[in-house]
Amino acid sequence: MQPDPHQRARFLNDEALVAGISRDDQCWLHSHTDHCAECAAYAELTSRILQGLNSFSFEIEPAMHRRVQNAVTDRAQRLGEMRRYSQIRPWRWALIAATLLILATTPIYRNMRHKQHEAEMGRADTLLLERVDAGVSREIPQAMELLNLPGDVR
Amino acid sequence: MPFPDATETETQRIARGLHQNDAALIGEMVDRYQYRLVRYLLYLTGRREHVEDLVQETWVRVLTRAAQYQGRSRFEAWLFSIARNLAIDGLRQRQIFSLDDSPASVSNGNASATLPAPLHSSPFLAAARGEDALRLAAALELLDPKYREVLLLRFQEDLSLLEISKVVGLPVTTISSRIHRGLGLLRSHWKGGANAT
Repeated sequence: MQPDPHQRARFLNDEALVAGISRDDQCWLHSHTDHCAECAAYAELTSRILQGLNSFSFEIEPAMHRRVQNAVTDRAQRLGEMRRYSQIRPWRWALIAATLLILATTPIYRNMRHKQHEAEMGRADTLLLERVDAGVSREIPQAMELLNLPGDVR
Repeated sequence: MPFPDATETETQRIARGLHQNDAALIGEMVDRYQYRLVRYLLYLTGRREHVEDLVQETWVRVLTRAAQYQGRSRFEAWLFSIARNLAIDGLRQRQIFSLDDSPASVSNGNASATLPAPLHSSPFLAAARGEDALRLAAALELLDPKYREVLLLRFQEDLSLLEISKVVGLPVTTISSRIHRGLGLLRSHWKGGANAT
């Protein structure tokens, strides 16, 4: 069944504006509208409607434009500053972490050194006492050794 | 700070400026796109009230979601999709508010009574210059926003069907049929208006 040529012409007229039509369809449409007053009027009306749409001129209050412009540029500046701050923040955090690490490990290190020193001193004292004991036992004159006999209860 | 590339396209320049929160570029963008954004919102909502808030919210969202725009598509398509989502969210919130909290809605039990009354004059009538435009403004006023929106995007913003489908979030075939239907309805209203006068 052949489609109604007027319906086809009207569809093609709109489709040419909506998505575009092939060259063959354009030729057919032109030849049809050249001979069909109704379809030519249809095309003319569509054209007038689109021209009418383009002729609208919406007014924008200059004050509103300024308010929006100021609000948006202020926001952009704030976001830009936050962005720059967030870029340097990781370095700050790394610095803070390193400082805390140093502060926390210094007393621990000192404490360890102190304990190590005390242990060394303790060992040295023990050694010294042993030496003193040994020295004392050697230094009692033989003549007085009798005084150092066990069981002497004077 | 990266230096601009000599072969950089306009959309890439916009993307770079947005990623850097370049206040000067944002100011330039507001100047350049403000009229088109306002016009889109008027076509979408059919009213002037809340448009300033929506415009401002749209730009703020452009800034906060700048990372999403990579400069591979036209900026205005992305801008309109943001504005569209905000307008729909705003309308939904206002309806929820009025349905839940308005004393009128409670006492009347009538949801339609709580919907915001249009504060006419119509933005289309105010924007019309000439007889044809006045007749068209009356037709646009009666047209469903879903048709007004696609007609604007196709014939005034010159977006492709694919770009419109991304803005609206519907398949290309649906967009195409909406434009055809919208044109048909405008013609009918136009003829009806002509017959009435």
